[in-house]
Amino acid sequence: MATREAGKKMIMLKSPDGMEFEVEEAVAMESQTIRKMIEDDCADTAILIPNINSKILSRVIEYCNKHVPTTGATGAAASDTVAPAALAEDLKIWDAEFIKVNRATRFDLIQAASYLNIKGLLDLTSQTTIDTISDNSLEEIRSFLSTKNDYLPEEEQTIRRENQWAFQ
Amino acid sequence: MAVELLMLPDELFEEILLRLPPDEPACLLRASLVCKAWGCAVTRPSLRRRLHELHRTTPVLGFLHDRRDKSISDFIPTTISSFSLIVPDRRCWRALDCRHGRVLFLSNSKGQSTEEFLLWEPITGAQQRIPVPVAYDNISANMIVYPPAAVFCTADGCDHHDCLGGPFCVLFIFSVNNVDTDDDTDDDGVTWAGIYSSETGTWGELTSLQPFWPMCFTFYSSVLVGRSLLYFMFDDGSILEYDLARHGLAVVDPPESDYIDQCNIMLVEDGGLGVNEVVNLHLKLWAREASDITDARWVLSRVIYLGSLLPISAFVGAETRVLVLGFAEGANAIFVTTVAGVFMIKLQSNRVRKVCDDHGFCNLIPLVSFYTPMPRVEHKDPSLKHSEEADGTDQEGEEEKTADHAQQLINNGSNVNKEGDFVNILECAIHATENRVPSPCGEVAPRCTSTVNKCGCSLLCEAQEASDPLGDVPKSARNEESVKSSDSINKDGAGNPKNLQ
Repeated sequence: MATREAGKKMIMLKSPDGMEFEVEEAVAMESQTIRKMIEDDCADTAILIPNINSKILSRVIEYCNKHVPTTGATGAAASDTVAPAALAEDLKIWDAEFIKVNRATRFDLIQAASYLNIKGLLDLTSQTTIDTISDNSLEEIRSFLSTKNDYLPEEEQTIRRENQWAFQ
Repeated sequence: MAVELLMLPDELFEEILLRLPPDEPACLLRASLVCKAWGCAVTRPSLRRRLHELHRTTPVLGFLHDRRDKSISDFIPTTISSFSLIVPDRRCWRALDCRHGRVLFLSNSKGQSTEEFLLWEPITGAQQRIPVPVAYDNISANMIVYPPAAVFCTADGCDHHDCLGGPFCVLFIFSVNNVDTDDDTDDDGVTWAGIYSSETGTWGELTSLQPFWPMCFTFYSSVLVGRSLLYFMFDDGSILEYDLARHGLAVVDPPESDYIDQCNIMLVEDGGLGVNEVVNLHLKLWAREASDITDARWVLSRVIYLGSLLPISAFVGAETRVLVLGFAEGANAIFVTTVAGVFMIKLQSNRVRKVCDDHGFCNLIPLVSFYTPMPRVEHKDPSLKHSEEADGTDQEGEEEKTADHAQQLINNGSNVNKEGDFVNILECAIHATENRVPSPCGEVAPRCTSTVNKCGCSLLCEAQEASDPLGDVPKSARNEESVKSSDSINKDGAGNPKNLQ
């Protein structure tokens, strides 16, 4: 990313805990939410990103930096450019490393990706979560999600009985 | 610990659940058991819409078929993990078509005056009976068997991502063979087409076509091109077109082929009309390129060598014939049958999967849909509560009577000889199935339905004993209508079809 040529328009992103991040406009526009703000001319100086702390915001920027298309020229068309196969493979490996975070961070990243509307990051974080869940028993999922089973035993039994095919 | 209390907001449950593999319905159902919040999230209507947005192709959940063999289940799942549906009994109902999440059946009572259609939404379990057009009833003695029909959603500008329970139409095609009658016309036959609209609850005026030969449809699948053109292929390979905008029937010539009687209609990748045929293990896909109405031609758009796609066991022995039995509209997949069983071929990816060991099918009706569980009582939309309370009292008693009646009918049904007294059996079964209570919430109805479906099995006694299950059937407005509707059919035999909504 360091090789990107100078003279690009920069955008300042501010987290609620007071940290400021200067990023290239193209990188920030990986987020559809920010893209809309920029396109609507609401982003003259700095954009405050509410609800996303600096730790998570820096990870999100790291993701966007990696995923911003490198082949496109500038602006709107750039993010539509399809990466070559080798680059895609490289990104996949990078993603796998990127998402090796603890559960709390991953949940924060899901929320950030959802708020900022970054489809790739939302796919990555949600898919990783669902992959973890799919391989586990209901009890393990509940403990992973810090969720309690609030079904009455008879309610759970009814669902199981009516849908035996799902529990074979 | 603060981290332990960390929870995702509700809307992000959906985000995660969306990513469960759509061809493994069991995952979503199991996920609904994690906690009630998840149970709610999987049943939210928005989930269906978002599944369509996220996944480019809709999964094929399975297929209905016309095989008589009782040992084969009515519905054969094609999903990766296990899946099951309680299908209207194929001894009573013959599946004709499936589109936009609805399956259309015609009653199996040939020669009887009680023929009717059944519309079934596999995902919601809702059912609706539709009388056949009066004209069809009147001429049924001269009928050519296996009339085809198609069902389709008619909601304005609908993308069919979330239109269950909405308005729909049925297109019914039937040919009358005049050869044996004293009719003073010179024609060999007339083919009629009629449209039933769920919004008016009536059949519109019939459209006719005199093709100078009787049209036979043994393989009765149809395809919908765009929003207004429905195509059926009849046994000699010709294609019948029905224009929904103009209400006109026309015959379209098939591509030139020596094996046209083994062809099947389908949609090509751009959504236009296509035809497939298997010649010497090559699957040929023809596309109809129409620059204008009068100047259309068939173009061979693709050839797929099945010899390298299908396993070698499919070609073992003298019988190496491969037949295409169905096209899954909306999933761009075809089903082929071989000696080794039925295979599903996804045309986009050329991915092949064996979906059934049996191979004696004639026609398959693929069910293309995302699976989402139905809301249970306690997760119901609060807006339905009012009608639930209002209807509660007299419906409970009614349902108990209905269950008793079903039991009685089933007992009657199992006592009569199946060969000798088909009419009686059918009557019993029809009335027994009448008693199903289509339930948008799926609390008890599936259990009741499976019981009734198995005609005479002892499960019903057990079901009745076990904590009065019919007592807490959700009584939504839709439910009440269905019950009323069945009642009216029971009483006067005419039926008063109502919109599912």
